[in-house]
Amino acid sequence: MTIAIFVGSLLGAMTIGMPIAYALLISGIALMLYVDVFDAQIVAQNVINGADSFPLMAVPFFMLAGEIMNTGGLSKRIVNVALAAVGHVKGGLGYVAILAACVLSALSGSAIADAAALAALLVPMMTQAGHDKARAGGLIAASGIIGPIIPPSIGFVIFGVIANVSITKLFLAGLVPGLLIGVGLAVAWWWEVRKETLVTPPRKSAADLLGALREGVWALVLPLIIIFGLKFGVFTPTESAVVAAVYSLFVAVFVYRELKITELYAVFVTAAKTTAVVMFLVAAAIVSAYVLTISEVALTLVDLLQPFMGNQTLLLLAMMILVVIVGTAMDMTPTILILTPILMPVVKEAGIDPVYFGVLFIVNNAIGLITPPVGTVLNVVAGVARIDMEDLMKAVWPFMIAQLVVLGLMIVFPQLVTWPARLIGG
Amino acid sequence: GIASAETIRVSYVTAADHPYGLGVKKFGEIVEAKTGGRIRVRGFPSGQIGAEVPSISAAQGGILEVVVTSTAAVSGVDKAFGVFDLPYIFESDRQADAILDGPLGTAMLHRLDGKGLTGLCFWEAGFHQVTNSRRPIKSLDDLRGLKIRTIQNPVMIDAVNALGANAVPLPYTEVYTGLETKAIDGQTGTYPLVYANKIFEVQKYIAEANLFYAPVAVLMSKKFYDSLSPADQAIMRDACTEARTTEREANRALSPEALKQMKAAGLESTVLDAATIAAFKEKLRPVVDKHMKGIDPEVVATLQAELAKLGPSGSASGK
Amino acid sequence: MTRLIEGYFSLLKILIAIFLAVMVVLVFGNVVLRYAFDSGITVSEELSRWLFVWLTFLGAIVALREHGHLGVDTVVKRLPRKGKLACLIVSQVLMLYATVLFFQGSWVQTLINWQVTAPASGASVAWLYGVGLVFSISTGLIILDGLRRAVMGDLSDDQLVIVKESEEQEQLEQLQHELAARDGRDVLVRAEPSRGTDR
Ligand code: NA
Ligand code: NA
Repeated sequence: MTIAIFVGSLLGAMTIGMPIAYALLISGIALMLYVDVFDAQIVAQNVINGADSFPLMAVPFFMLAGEIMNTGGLSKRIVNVALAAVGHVKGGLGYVAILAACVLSALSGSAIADAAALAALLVPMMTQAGHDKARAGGLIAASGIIGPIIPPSIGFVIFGVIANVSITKLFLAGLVPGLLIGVGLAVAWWWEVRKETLVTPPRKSAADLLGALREGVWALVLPLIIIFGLKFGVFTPTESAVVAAVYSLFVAVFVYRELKITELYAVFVTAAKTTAVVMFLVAAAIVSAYVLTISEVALTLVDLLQPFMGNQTLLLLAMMILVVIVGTAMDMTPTILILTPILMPVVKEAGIDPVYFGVLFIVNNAIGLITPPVGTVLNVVAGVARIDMEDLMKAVWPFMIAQLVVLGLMIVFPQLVTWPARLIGG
Repeated sequence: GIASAETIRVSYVTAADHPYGLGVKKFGEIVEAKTGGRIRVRGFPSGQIGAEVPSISAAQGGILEVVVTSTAAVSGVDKAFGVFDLPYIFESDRQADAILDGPLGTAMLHRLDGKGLTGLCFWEAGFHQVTNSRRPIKSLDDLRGLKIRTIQNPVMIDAVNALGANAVPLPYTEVYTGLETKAIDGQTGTYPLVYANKIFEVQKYIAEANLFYAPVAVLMSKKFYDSLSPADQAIMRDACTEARTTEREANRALSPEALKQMKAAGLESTVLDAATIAAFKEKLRPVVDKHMKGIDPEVVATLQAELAKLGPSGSASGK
Repeated sequence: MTRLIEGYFSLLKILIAIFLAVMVVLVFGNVVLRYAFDSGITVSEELSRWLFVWLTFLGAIVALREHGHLGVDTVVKRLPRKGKLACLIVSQVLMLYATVLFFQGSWVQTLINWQVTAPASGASVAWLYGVGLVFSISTGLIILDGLRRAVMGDLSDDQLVIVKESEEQEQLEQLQHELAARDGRDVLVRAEPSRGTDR
């Protein structure tokens, strides 16, 4: 019943067009009334303390880094390197998109920023080369969601904070699954374009490739700084985010000279506003999480899932189907916020490695970014590349299926995630 | 509703199987038995419903019934509680118990009456030892230059710096990762906590320095306390005192056991000798003097009088 | 009056940009100090966290006014005008109720924490809970104004939907704006494969 009150009031409030953050507050208040702990201080205390977190400060810093990379020309140079390297093979621009998405992912924490940059740069080139525009957009949308899987990742930060799991371990464990998603996409792309008639650009000369590399090296070393910095403990995840922001600021202003000091104010305001939207949502979710905790609803849910407890694969499959369903209708951050407190007790009870679960959960949430009706990354790509939304929804299917197949493989063969995670994360 | 007015929620930051948790469990058993089940007690471990400082604030506001918290977190509410943060204030379990359970302890708890809190009694986290990943600590020199994590507390920061190490104030959530990745070299903590929080997995050495003694305050929301009958109020106080024995005994039994387990896992242990402890105290004297000044002189005077009354104690047994 | 209101929201934007910049300096400064000088700024962590809290709530005020908060408009946008209006009014009344509770709770907690000091800085913890008062008064007025206009029938059709479905629609809009401003020139240069790097 407690869960029904929570979900009912939340969905009700969202349906009438209330911002999700406020809908979460309303469902928290409804829960307080039902559980009979009504007090205004519970609202204020949980909301304000919910935002008061050092690990979550990674959010504004990654937002800032993403803003600076797009405005300051770092993203563009990464695409140029990928272009010089694989642009000439059949359908090569598609592989460029996937490769560039993987590298961009290692710089930024969000799928949306990555997809926007790639769509602006690559869709016009791909159409020129003879690709179907919607198919090109579909691939780029699907590539963009590698952003929150390969570290750094705002999704992992929020999950790690709520679930109390090491963010560093999550980051390092996301690296290989992100690359696997990239491989899955490359296979799907190869299959999709095998019958297209294309104008393939000529192979770049070694000098051109070197030139692109020389220009791009400033942007390309950042992923290495972040991953090695985390791995060898030079800094914590929050600090890695601030290092990414400061480094890209340095490169954008002093090396590429594409970010004028006068543009800085706008960059900071945009990053701060986006942060506020995400963080207010996080903070608002803490109210209902608090009431759900004191009402011990988790125990009932664990009881409910008891029949699956004996079979981890089946249990994971059931949970992942739930995430896919919720992910169709909701954006990544709210899905993480709402489902983490409900699912984690089950994960612990069943003895599933929380880092492994976290990776599956975030991959699944990322896929939710390209599932209609609420597919944020689809909206972004449609908007930037001016593709009709319905065409894009149809074109993204094959790529989404490839990603779900990779996710399925990771459920059936946990070693795909856990083995490299141990190797890299130690 | 589910959580009726007769439910006492207890917030604490350690795991449920840690001594705090055992104390809370015992407290609950006694309350439920003595009230014939009229009042239930439910513990919320691991900071599930809030960290220490917000939980104290919640108890003051009456939205939480009980918080089990380090006295360091209470010093924001009343600076005098900072007296327990001073290094080498207590040298043995016996001394700590005598003072915390005696007139000074009672007076300290009463100081919170005007702040919306009713202090029930003191439990313990115990003596803080020093861990690190660089070298075994046998003398003052061995600490030089080590980056030691402390809580964000001026006394502890000054103390660690005075010993020649570099205090790095870090939020608790960053400690394990910070140590694992060697962003920091070491930290201070009790044997049970170093064990329970798996700090020993990312450290090589532990030195028994008994640097601080950390008491734990069991604080009830005054709003809730005042709503109870005098008989129930007495039950609360008695239950806290009875559970105190359970909690302290569990903590003190766990310390050598935790050390044994950690040694078996490869942690190297040293015990500072009396001469080294004396050298530590010498270095720390200016820090103690400096921070004593910020504390209500009456509290300092009572503490010193009571310590003098107890006389010189034997060596610390708070392992 | 209008100028006063516009000035207030400009001030909020300036503040959140400054807070973010100071957070960067504090946290990055701490990393540098740790490696270069084996030390740290004692108040870095506490101060940056508090700035973060203020950034969150001041930014959320701006987002509410600009209809920037995330939501699902799938159902609402298919409704006729009357249905949209009804949904909007119910939403805003409930939001106002949540805001009133937030205000009351923040008020009590601000008073409780007036004399409580923060461990590192020694500042009053009322500064932390005080953000709840600023937030709830500001957003309360925004919601009241929205309600007034909804009841007076003073809203165009697209003003009846107050949420966005994407976290970064704002950035998207800015990006489109930039692309338009560059007149497609830069995009074309970059889109020309044979040129390689363009600078
Ligand atoms: Na990423
Ligand atoms: Na979706």
